[in-house]
Amino acid sequence: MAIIERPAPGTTLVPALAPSAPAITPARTFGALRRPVATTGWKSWLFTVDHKKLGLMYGATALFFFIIGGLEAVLIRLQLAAPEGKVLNADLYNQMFTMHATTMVFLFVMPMAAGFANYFLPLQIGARDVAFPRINAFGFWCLLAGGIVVNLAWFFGGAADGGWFMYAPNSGPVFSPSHGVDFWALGLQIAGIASLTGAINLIVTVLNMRAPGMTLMKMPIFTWMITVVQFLLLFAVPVITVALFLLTFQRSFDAKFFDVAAGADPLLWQHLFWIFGHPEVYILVLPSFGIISEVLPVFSRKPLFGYPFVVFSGAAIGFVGWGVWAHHMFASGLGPVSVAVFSLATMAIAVPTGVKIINWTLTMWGGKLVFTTAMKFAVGLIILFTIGGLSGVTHSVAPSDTQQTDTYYIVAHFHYVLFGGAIFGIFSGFYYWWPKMFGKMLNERLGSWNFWLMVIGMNLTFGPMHILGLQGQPRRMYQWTEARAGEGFFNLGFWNLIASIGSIILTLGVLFFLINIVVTARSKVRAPLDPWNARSLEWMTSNPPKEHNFDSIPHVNHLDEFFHRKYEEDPTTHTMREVATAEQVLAELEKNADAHIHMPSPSYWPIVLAAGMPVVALGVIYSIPVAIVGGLIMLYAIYGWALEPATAPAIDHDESSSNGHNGHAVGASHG
Amino acid sequence: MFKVGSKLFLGTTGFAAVNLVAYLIFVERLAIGGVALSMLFAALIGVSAAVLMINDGDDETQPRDTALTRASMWPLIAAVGLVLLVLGLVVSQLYFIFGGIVLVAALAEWMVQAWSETASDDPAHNEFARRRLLHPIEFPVIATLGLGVVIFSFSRIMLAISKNAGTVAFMVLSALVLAVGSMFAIRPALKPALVSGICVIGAVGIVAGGIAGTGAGLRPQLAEAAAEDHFSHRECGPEKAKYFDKKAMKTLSLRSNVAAVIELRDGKLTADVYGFTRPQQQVSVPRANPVTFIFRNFDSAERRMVAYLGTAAAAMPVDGEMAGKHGDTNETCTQLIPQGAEQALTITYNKPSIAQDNDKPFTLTVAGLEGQAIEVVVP
Amino acid sequence: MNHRRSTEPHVTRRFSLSRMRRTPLSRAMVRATTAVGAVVGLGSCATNAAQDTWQPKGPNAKMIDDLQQPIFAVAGIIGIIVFAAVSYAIWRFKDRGQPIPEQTHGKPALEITLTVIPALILAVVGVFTFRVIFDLAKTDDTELVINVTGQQWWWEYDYPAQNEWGITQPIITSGQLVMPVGTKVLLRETSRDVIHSYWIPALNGKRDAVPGRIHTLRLEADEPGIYAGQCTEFCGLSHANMRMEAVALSKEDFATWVANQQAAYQSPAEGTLAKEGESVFLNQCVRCHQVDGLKRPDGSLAIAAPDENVWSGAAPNLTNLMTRNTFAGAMFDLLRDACRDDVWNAESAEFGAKYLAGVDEACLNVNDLRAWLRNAPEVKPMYANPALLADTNGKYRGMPNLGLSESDIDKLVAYLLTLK
Repeated sequence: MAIIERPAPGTTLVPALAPSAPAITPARTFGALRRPVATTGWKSWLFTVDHKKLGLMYGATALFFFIIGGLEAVLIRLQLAAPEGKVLNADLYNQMFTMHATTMVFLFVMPMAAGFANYFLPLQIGARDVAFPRINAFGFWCLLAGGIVVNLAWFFGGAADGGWFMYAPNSGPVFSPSHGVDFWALGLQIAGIASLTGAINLIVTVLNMRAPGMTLMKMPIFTWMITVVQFLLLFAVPVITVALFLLTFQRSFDAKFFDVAAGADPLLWQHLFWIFGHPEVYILVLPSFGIISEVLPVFSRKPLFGYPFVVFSGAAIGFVGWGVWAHHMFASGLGPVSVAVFSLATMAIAVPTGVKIINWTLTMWGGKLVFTTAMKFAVGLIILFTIGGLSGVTHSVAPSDTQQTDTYYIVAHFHYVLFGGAIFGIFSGFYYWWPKMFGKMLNERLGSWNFWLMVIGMNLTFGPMHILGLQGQPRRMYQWTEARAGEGFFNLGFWNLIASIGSIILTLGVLFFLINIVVTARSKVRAPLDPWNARSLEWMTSNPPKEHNFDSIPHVNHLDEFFHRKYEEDPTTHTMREVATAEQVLAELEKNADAHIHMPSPSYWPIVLAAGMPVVALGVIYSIPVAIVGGLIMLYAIYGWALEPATAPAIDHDESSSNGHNGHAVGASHG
Repeated sequence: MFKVGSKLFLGTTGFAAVNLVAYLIFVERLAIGGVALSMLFAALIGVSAAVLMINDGDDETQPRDTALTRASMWPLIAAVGLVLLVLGLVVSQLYFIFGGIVLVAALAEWMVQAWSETASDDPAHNEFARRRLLHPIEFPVIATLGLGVVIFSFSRIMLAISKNAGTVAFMVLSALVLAVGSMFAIRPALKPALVSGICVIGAVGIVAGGIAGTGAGLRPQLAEAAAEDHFSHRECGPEKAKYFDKKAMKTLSLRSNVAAVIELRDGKLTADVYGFTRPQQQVSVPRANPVTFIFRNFDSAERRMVAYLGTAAAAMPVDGEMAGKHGDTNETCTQLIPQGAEQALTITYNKPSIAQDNDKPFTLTVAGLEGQAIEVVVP
Repeated sequence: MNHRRSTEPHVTRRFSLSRMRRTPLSRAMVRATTAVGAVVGLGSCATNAAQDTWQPKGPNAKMIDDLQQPIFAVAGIIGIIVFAAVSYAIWRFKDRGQPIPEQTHGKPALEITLTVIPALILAVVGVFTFRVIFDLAKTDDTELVINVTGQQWWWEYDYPAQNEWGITQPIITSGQLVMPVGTKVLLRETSRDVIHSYWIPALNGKRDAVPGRIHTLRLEADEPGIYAGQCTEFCGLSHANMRMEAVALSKEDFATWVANQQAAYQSPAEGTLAKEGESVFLNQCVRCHQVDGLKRPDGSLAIAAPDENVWSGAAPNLTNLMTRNTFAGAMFDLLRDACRDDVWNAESAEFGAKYLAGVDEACLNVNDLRAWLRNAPEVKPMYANPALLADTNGKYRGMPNLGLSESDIDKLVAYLLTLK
């Protein structure tokens, strides 16, 4: 639906699952194309352009792939639990670790961050939707299509088996004869569209659609970090797209980009991959930094310590992140000058990262710490990420890195960074924002189990890998041999076994989260309006928010606007006292509700356009005519999209509903 | 009862009947003319009957159409397309295809226009509907075509004029585009007609230039190069080859970490092998692996490096059959390069040195320079 | 401005350690942490792990180790400081019903100090790193050059002619890199197919072998012995089985080894099982495997043509096979376990003699060798089935199943034992 009437008084206190919509009879667009109008049921999800629904779909997709990627990881650990493992054969093992990394990076952490960004960024800046709602929907469907294509290879003769870094020439048709790499390259190109469109969309949204009074330096820190990430995506994704494009041409059309005999240099791929790949690390971890920078102040009852430092260190990481890619290539034979330069740049990037850890610690310092599950995960992130960061410093030292790279020490390092950093932040976000998204609180008791099992499991899994790596166990080996495992009780066999046991405990921890979701969904207890005594704008609306997010767009005077509407400083003691409850703040907003709100209308075209892409991909792999069919589907969808106005015109709606024209139209009318 | 149309057709029918009878009586019976006239007569009877039956197509009970059909260019374009189509049958297939595309496009536009004019009573809405439907197709297609024509024309100009003139033309043109663009940017209030006029003049100028360029043909050097197969003239002697050595100075070999750099200095050939401190006379390379040598010429004469690849098919240059053999010797070479220049040569040695006749090992030599050779050892 | 001044002493007081020492619980925790730390730090590692990066056995690896040990220590100390600070904050500022604190937004001076300190630490680290990077890249003090070529899934070593080492004609071998001790050896690495990485942790860090490029790696061993390594750039199916061993011999022993490698080929005596094995070898193996000096019955040299059968164009040269201790890309030992342990664990003074003794019938690891000859792809994953190799025009990658009969295998083993 496109036009929302002023909500009935009181709806702010009674969360509505489906916003009540006025009756709509859409006109056919030029006699042929009737646009979707469903507000409930599966159609309301398939054709939605609502940033919140898309955010949830991003999240659900990501969670699904998290389970897939996790099971792949468990299989890897089972294979390596004992010497000469027989759980998987060499071929399957290679596919497994390739797909584990691909899934976790491209299909879990990135979309999960995109989900949180989609859901909360417009809420945090007081907007009613993103700038380009249909492109937003298109992005999500591309991600899903890409994820499906990448995984489809399992059923078509084996998944990609070259490692997620897919170094040439091992990724060529001769060395990887199954179609796995083709599916991988094409699937990731499709999924990359999601990142690119999402980046443009969110950047435009942040720059243009902030609530009145919200200057950039009053923006919530999560929004800031997401913005930095979108800029990273905007510049990094084209690089990997080019690389994947070259790879696809090499494999499907006999191009010679990485063919040494034809005069090529295989290091080209490594440069392309890591120019994307290193910013990608920050793309993965900065959203989580943003999440815990929201969570820590809320549960410390204190503002983020050194907000400008956190903002600028985030931006600095974003910039310097472009100058460190070759630290993944210290052993590649770049020559001492390049190695030295990149070694120093890598040390430099440790500084802004360290600033964040200091700021988080000082945010807690002197606060009033409430250890909810969200807070536990946030504190867990500080500790675990510090370990990962420090092991990272040890291999910014290039000579030392030549001993460590491609061993389990690196595996330990980046799992502390990505599991301890990115995933702990995401789980913190789950617990913190669940009541906002679903109107129900995740069970804290189960949450505690979830947290402690994950912390113990994660440390048991990845901690021993430091020892394994430093004692010389390389990565990506489908078997390890006892002959090189050393002697003594604490030999490499022991630590491999511990790591495998740890992975089971970790799985149990994740299982508790899944159980928690089910328990919470079945519970009838509704969350209070402001369960955490939160600080930012996304809490200044109902749980879950109404389709139009805010009854009236708040005017922002403070960083932590919501908190400052609830509390005032006592001039003598400098402590804070409550002056209004959340309900009162909301009632105030509702009093000034906008009468007539134009929201973007649902559309068929994003999903149809995205559906054409896997057809093209399959066609490129198997038969060009199929690709032409896919192209025609896309052409049809683009045409339909171009014909359709973003917001259905007023004639689409009942006469009775267009009685007032003093409505507040949001800027979400493009795209 | 009889209206104008009915009268006309009935009259014509009568006239045809008279004619037929006259022809049969006065000219001849059972001739082709008689058949034709009787056919015409029959047809006219049919038409007259039809016109009579529908009362000249006049329906007094319905109100007359008030909205007049607007002017349209599609009939004209469709006719042009049709002419091209027919002409193509005689002249060339290209015309036929082009005519077909024009015809189909014009008919499609015609149809949509015809539909839109009766879509509703509101002419403004009708025009809006037409635009909404067709602009998503028209704009990209016309833009692509227009840009394609301009770019193609420009490429014809650049191919026709000499290299130096090409540089000048490019600079002048880009300066012009920049100047005009800046003018548009500075004066946003410029009349749209003026802006489009300037653009059209520019485009027409380029297209005209392109047509002239096509008429003039390729510049001589390009024509010569197009007529030759580059590799068919590869020669490894000390003398300058007519085609193979063209512009050798401009060939770069920006490759790092090669197997060896072969240097010619003061009449001596040495190999600088990465890892050895002293210059070598022997290079050991792995079997069955593409290896790259760089040849640097510090001699004042123009020189080329020649790689002797053995008697059997023991080694081959990477470009395989294109390079081919020269007579009985299996060899490949760089271009003739002047002092200070360098060139790379990539070779795969598939057989070990022991497979060779001992007197003739794999070597790297310089054409026209006796007694200097770098031996390539393949273990 | 006001409240900033007022909170500063507040924070300092909270930070004081004296408060912490007073609680017995925290004292116990500190002790426990120290104990656990000591156990984790020192006692929890394997002893004698073959590829331990913290046990350098040569000057290059020592240079790296001397650089990294202080960095690990500093990183550990910083880590402990952060844990302590976070733990203290958790314990001290837990919600005990205290009022909501003042909404301070930070202290720029403190921030800048805490930014500059790590930057300074890293600057110091950077200076030392710089020096070691350039020291490790030196090539002008090389004493012996060895070419190393990686291929799926084994390494080829060839020694270019270097008269000062008695190498008058190139030596080619595989499986084990043999080098003299106390000598600055420079590897010139390249690859025939995909990217591999050469890594002997006890001697130096790793360096990728990239097709079309030559990369150098310095190696130097202090003591005679065998140093294990492993390919560390993912290179396909049998990446895990692409191992290497660097054998360091005293200079005299190395000269003996060189002389033996250059000795002329000796055909087995007529009428022996080994002689029959030679003809099996000529029929089956010489399609890919070169044995220098081996002649066909008609007197012509047998030249292997692996480029016609194997995608990457080469197969290990088997001349002097029995002077090596491994086969199949160092995946299997040529020596039985007892004999292998005897060599690996030998005192450095005796090592050379034991290694140069090579492999004799009593010590030969017959089981693995016969299994390999019977069906190689079964014991080492390789893309050896031409039916699945449309993309390589039917060329193998690795050794195919030759379908040899048991008696052929008997003969071949007897023949291979003569390649000393």
